[in-house]
Amino acid sequence: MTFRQVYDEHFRFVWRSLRRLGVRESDVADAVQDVFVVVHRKLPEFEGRSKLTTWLYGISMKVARDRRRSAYERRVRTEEAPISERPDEAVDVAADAERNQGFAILEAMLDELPIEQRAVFTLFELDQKKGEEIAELCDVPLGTVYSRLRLARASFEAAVARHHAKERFRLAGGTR
Amino acid sequence: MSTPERWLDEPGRAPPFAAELLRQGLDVEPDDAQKDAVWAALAARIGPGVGGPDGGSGAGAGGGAAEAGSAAAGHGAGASLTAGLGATIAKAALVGAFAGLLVNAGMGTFDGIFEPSAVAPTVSQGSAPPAREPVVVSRSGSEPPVLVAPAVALSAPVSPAPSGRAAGPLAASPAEPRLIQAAAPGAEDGAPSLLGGMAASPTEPTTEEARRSRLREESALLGEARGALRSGNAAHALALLDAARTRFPDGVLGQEREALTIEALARSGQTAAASARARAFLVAYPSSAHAERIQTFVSP
Repeated sequence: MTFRQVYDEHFRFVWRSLRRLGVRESDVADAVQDVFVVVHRKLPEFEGRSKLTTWLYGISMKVARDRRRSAYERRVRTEEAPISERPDEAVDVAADAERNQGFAILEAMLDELPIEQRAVFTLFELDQKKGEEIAELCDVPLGTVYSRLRLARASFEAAVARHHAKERFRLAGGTR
Repeated sequence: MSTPERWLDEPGRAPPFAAELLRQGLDVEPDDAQKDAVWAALAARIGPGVGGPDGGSGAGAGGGAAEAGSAAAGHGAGASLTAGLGATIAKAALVGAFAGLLVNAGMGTFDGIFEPSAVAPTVSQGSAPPAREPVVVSRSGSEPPVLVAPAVALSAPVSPAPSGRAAGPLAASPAEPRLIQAAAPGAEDGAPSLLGGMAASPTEPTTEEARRSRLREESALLGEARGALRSGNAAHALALLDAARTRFPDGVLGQEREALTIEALARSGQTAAASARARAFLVAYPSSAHAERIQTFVSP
């Protein structure tokens, strides 16, 4: 299978996986490139030792993890920078949040999950994958899939409850 | 071990609000233009041989890719910048293809149509085939590499600038959406910007303080326009946005300005103009934070 074929057949899969794993819309094109640069380098030695999608998903997890880390560091830095030095998307944070609130809230809640749990949770709840398929993609036993799913659901549920408690407080006139 | 019910399948059994929230995350699909753009950027990053590690088939495409690659490398200050640059090039190329209109004097030319699919044109997803021919930038002669920041702008017909600087957006006429290409002023000093049109131009104030005050002014003007829009006065918002466009043609908040203009056009009933402009915006800034919202203004 040539590099081009891998790209054509799996571009969408890699893109979606990265988004699900927390790479933001504005970063995802670069992150997809990162994944395929690795694919390009390692394809000759891949030799089908696992399923291709398992391999791609593993690379996507690594890239997403690195991006999360550097995005976090960037956020920490920008919060200290004067507004004129922030990237322009950060200037209009309020409008941004308003525009896309539901999605932003979901992202924030998923961001609280460790990436392994996030993977299982999004594959199961959003991508409607079966337990066995998830086990294969993540390269872990089925039992691990279900225990991660349980943990992720509990954290997510708690985050949703927390969020709504805050909202009620805010609407009731609290200062935050 | 049995598979539990999915929250989206059984919203009644999911915790309160969970299914509702999850539904927000369902749609994260890339489109074909993004697929082409990433491939072009990838070609620029990897260089020749992108046709496959088997090395057999990439020869025709390799030239263009190598050239784009060296162009990017010459200006990049590191891997991620280079990648960003590649993406910029790709986006610019797509804008060119979309607009079919190049106001692009002296900065180089889009002379090569590099077909990544010369290698293997199969797109095996079940969806629609690529809507347009993928294009990558190559360059001619001794010109500097093409680094054109896509600037989506409404403008009266603009004639090519005589010098290397392409014409910036001029007076606006909301009824006639038009795509023009503006060369990124910062392209030659190696500080290109992914967002386009943001690099400092020679006419801009150079001191830090002046730059900040300019940004504050631009931001205030857009804030005023947003206020007008919220209070239902779309016409006034459009006038303010025109003023912002004239005053800050290369404004840092160009994307915000465009997004607001599209919304103001739509609210003032000029839906066709809003739709055309929204399309142009999405081609120029497919990964913009505003993209999802702008998409709603595109009429089918």
